Amino acid sequence: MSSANHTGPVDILLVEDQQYDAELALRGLRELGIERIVDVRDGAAALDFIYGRAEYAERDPDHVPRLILLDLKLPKVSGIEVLEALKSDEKTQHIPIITFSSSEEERDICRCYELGVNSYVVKPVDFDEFTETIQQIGRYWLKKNEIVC
Amino acid sequence: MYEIFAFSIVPLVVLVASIGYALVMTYRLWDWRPLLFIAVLVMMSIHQTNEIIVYLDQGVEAALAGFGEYPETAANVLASLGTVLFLRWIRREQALTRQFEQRVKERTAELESFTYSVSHDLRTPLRAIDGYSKMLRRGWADELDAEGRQLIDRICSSADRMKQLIDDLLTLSRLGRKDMKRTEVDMGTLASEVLEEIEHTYSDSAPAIEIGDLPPAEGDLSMLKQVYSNLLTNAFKFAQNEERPQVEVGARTKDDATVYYVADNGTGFDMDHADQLFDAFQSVHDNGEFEGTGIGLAIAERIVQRHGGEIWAESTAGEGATFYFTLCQSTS
Repeated sequence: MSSANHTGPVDILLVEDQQYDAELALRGLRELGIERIVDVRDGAAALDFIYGRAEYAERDPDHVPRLILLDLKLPKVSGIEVLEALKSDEKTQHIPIITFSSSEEERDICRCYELGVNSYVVKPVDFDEFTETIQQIGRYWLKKNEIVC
Repeated sequence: MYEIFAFSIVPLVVLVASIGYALVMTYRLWDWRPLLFIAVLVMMSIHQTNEIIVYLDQGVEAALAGFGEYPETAANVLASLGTVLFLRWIRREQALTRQFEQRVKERTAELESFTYSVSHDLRTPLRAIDGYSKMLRRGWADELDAEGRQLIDRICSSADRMKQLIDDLLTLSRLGRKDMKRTEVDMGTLASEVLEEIEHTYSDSAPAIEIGDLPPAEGDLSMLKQVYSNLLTNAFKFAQNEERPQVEVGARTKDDATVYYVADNGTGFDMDHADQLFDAFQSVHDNGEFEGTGIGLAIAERIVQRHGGEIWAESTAGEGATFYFTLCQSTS
């Protein structure tokens, strides 16, 4: 359901394994007018996308997304592992990453901040709250926040 | 020579061996009580040693006392055997208790991890149910008649209720796992804070409130706040149907311990069902008469127990209910 051309500039990389959660997020973001969103279903695909590997081999790794929305519970490579990989690499450190997860567990939140996540947001269950939250995130990080590089 | 061997040397060896074993066990069990047994065995050893010394000095007749040697030797052997067997039994009991405690800890951890995973896995499809039904209601409102819209409303309200249940389950599960942060808590201020928060939701029909003098307690601030929140929410809920709803928060001293209480003048409950009150999801009133998932009291009980205290309730049907709780007194 992603609409962006994989090789062009990308506003948001959405890393979410649950199809419905991804759809609801995409809906909310599109209402704001954000179109260049790529969604992937697991951590391995997320890293492949960023580094221009495997099915995303045509991508230029210098074109990084302006924002990454990262779920924690992912198949293949977990959200924490993706976060660790990106924040420890000089070339990708600066990309704003927001954990968007069902987990409210202190240990998950602390771990993410220790690894350098920019923000940790708990996914609301209520649809209206969910939409409001995802739109607040999109509005802040893409329209108001000044992004380096 | 045979007599000395049988009545003095062998018992002495048996006694000394048992003393050795008992000393090792005293150290392993780290308990002082086996020393009493050791004292008895040592006395007996001294006596036998004395017999041997007398024999070496003055011969068999002086050392041994005729027929009495049989019961004496028997006593020595029985005392030694008794000590050894008793200590082994104690050690086995301790090992079993440790094993049992370990298993209980493991099961509890498993259960809490299970509750946590389940709650999170349940929330995802719930989000979808809530989301898509709301989208349906909004996007297709024109195509649905009143009945159709009502059906969707029921889906949404059921999703809400399920969300509340999951949140409550998660809170209950988290209580077992969370570390407690003990500080001195001003119970009076805490109760007032909670009351203010609850009063907001009861704009005009708020009950009359009385707060007594509440002595400070030692415990986890956020957990104790949860206890007051749950008890006061219940109190408000049950009192509001009365003509003159009243809620009282106070404390009294009983046998050196402080007993905090929250009382309301609502419908009360049947004391016969008092033991069900604190069960999770259990309601002692007709279902639907009073809102709530029924886990508030279970949570309060868990918190109070973690503080080493007790919680109970008394009521006269039709006249109201009072919930009492104590918290463990600190070592002060």
